[in-house]
Amino acid sequence: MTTQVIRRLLQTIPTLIGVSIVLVLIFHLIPGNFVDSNPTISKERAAELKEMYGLTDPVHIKYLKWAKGVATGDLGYSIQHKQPVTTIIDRYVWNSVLIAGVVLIFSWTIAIFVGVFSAVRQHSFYDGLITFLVFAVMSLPSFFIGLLAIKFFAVDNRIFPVGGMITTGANYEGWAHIWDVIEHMFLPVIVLTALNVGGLTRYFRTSMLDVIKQDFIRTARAKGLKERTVIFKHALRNALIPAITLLGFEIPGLFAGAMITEKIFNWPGIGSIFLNAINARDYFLMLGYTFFIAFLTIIGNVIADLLYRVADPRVRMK
Amino acid sequence: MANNLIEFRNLRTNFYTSSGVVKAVNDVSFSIREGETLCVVGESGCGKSVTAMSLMRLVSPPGKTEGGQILYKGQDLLTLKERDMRHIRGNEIAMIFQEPMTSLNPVLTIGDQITEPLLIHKGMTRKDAKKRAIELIELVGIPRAAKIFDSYPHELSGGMRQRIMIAIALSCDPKLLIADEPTTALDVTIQAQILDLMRNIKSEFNTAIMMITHDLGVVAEMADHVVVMYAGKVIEEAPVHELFANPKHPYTQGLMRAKPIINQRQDRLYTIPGQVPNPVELGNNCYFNERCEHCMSLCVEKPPILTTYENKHKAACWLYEKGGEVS
Repeated sequence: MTTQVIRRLLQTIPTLIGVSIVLVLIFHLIPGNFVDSNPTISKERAAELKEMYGLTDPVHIKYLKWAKGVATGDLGYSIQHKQPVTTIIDRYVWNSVLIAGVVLIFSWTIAIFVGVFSAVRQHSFYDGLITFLVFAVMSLPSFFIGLLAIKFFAVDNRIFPVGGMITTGANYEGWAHIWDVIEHMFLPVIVLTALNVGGLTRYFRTSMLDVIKQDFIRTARAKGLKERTVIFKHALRNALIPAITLLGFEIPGLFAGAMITEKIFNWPGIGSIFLNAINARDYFLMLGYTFFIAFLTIIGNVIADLLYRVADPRVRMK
Repeated sequence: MANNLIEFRNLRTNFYTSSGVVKAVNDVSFSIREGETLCVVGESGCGKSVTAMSLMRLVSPPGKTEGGQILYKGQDLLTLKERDMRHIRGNEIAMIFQEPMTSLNPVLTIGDQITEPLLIHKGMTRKDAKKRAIELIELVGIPRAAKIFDSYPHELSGGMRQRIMIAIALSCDPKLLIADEPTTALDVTIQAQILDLMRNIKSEFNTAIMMITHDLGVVAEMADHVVVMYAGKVIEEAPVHELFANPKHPYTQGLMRAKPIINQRQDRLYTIPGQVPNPVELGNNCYFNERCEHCMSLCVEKPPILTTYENKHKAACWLYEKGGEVS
């Protein structure tokens, strides 16, 4: 197992190099830069700044400079924030992880239960209702549900705060601070969960439907097992195996931040920071963050592969 | 004469499909005696498996058992509460299936799957259940039982998996073992081994076996008593020697003629002309009439009734009734 892990991790290195080359090439192609967007700077000063930030280098020099930094854990310097990219990511990404983590737990739990029940009662009224609701919520864009949620729960009825992560001006400490953050999390978590749960529910329903038609489910019933044991011990374990791939992709999603939702709820997450970086052409922040997500995607895949080995004895290596 | 263990009385199981109601089991009555091997024969789709699934009460929608009784120990299984039925399934009546390759759960160990019924029906501790499971694996003729206990189904061959299925079925010493085409998916040598195993079980534990098959060779080897089904109905029933010596129903006669005989060269085997009728459009007549070489006017007007003749031989055919040509 250990050698498997090491081998899989070593295999990621060429992939990462390939990804980094592609990223630098693409970002090099983006027109405009941070310095030129500021009209108050004189031409001479602008040229000087561009030279200083390395924006005028040819693409291969750019790449080598940047790659040298990455190899030592330095993702470059954000011109916009006047701080290293790693510092910026570290400051904001955890806010995004907080939201995304809670959303992940909620949406998966809800989707598994709802998906399983609508599979077990396929074609029933319940199944139809769930399918309808799922598609209704899925088809609404996040900015719409987000604003609707703000109107109902924050403006018309002041149940939850309108936005932000903490109450402005209130310097809560300890538990009061934690509760304050939780209160601010409610709306974005509800909106993101509602958006995520739909697709997942359909996924688990289909996966479960495939499994409960299998012969071994009939065997389990013929043994005299309770229906609950048949579904949750015999069927669900098999239905969850294909979901591991999905879980692997959730790992970068955890850190990627939800750009639009964070913007709407004014949540200080990495998603909205990245959106600003694109608008300001903050070259190294865009590059560093995208590379960071690419890295996590690859790691997520490795983790999914390894989880398959744990979950499915047919894939397990001797 | 041994007592009846299971008695089917006028069992009806219907399937509600989009093209109409399929009477998969249509007024079927027969019984299985203690310690007896009863073979149910018939071609695909004649209702053999559905009869067995009705007995286990595992017919899944759109199928529904809608009439008749299945008596076991004097109680009607069809009216039992689901809880009590669960106690019978896998405990007193166990079942093995046609497809050993897919009948075991791929993500659970063999040990897990054998001990499951022991834990729920016999209330054994994990330790005792493991001991018993290893005994069972040895009983069904698999060496290195302790190692097999921790293996997964994909590590075993088809024949071994079917043995494991038998071990699971035998775990709680059932009174009746239902075997739904247990050898169809296996190659001939493995078939012979599995049949041997089942015969040993029968003589050792006095378990009654309800064997579903369409292989007359298997019938000749295993059966004490045979039930022949056609389009959801029992058309003939007899002790095995009587049936092979003296088949009454033209369908059974056709089946006998259709099987190859060793040492007799034949270019083509006999086939019964025509096809099984569409189960949705069955009329009020003998369902075999279109394919029958003895078809009479009576056969298309009225369905024949299963009647008892000499040597415990029952058949549903107008040929043997008053008014028939041969009597």
